[in-house]
Amino acid sequence: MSYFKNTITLFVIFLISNPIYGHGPSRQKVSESIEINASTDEVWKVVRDFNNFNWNKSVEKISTSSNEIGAERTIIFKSGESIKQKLEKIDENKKMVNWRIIETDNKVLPVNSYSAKIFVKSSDNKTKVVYKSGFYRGFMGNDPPPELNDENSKKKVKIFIVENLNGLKEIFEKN
Amino acid sequence: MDLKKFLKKIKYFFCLLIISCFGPLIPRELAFITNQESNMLDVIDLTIKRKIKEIELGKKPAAIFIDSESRQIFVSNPESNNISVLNLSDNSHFFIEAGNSPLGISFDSSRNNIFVSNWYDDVISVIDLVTKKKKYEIKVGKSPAGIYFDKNSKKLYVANRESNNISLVDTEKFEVLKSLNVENAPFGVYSEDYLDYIVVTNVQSNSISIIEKKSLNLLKNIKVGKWPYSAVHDKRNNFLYVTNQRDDTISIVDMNKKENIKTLLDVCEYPEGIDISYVQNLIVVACWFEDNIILIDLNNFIVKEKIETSGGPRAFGNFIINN
Repeated sequence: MSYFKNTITLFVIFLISNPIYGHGPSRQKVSESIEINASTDEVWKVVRDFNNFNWNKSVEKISTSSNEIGAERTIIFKSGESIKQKLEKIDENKKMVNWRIIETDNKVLPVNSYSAKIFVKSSDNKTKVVYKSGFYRGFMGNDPPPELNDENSKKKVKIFIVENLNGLKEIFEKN
Repeated sequence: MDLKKFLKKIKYFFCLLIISCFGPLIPRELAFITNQESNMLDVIDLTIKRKIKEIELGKKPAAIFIDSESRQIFVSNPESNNISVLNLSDNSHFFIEAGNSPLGISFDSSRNNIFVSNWYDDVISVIDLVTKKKKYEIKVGKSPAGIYFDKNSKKLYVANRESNNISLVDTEKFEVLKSLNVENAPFGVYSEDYLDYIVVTNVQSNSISIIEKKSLNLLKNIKVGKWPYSAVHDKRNNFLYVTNQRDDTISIVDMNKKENIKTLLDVCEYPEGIDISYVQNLIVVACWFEDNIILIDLNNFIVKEKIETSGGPRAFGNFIINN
């Protein structure tokens, strides 16, 4: 009986975790921005540094291979979950960095094929940071469970991005 | 009002005046853009470069096929499990049930058969436009996406994204004749009546496959940008233009040499559906992330204009028609 139970459990885990990146569900987007009272160069220096992600307060630690294109980093959250990201592109002229998620924990970010771009722009002596992401929901099959559907995946991504932006702002506007 | 906006308004006014006086004499072209977030089909008049209408579709519309001869438009609505059929001659619009998650769409006007790829069921549904009922299901590879129907040979080409291959389907016997392995995650299939090859976009390999129509032999794999989505052929110079979703570029492939000769950088964010208007001398591209379409000059490849859409434009297929 326990063998049967284990087999079913394994099968369910396989169904949930199997990364069928595709176009069955429709792609989602989240775009958020924040204004920071600091110079564009100062903010860009922090944003472009793949070795540093101390601007998200839920992060316990990160491990990074390098700061070059193609580098990977594992972000471990205080709650114990982790995600793995890859540095896809840095555009110094545009002040844009592009990260992609290559492994995720659905509890923290229920997404598939997630890619985000962060733009650092000058705006009336301040700096505007625009954070854009495109992704598919956590469950790529038909009829997703509620926690992995479009709505909840989008909600979790929005929370993550807003947390990142607020944390970034706080670095420069502590006092 | 600044001068630029004022001049634009004057230009628009004169365009309307000319169209109202000489309308029937001017060849006009319309672009029909499927919008996955707003569930709308945006109608954009490329002559005056304005959106003139929004038509409500089913849920999460994605692919489109326009049959110029019969003036009918077919759109897949994956999340309402149906397709929309619009007739430009009488402005009618109706829905037909189309199985689980219909995505790719095409039409055989000689037999009134609509072909739809069903992503979750790994089949092609053949729907009779007259009875509005599904009459056949053809098993193909895993997660079929883009399809192309060749009028001359009556063959259907299907990109099976999760099995990394292409199925060649006989639409008279409703059976798969052959399949061909391509690179990773083939999604779009494109061709024209006058071309003897099909173009397949391999999303995860950042390449396109050029495949001979008749034999289904692979002629060449060509590297393009990140996550290629759609392609279109420019018959004036024998170029292919390929949209690359993940690096905001368009690759230009010279089909005389079968080589990627140029990349148009920073065209827009997530460029997806692409089509050509020879009358207006434009390449039209749907930009998913930016919620607009861009009009690129066909001669110098400069982005001339951006037109806002209703939300999440995809326009996966041929979407321009003479009106």
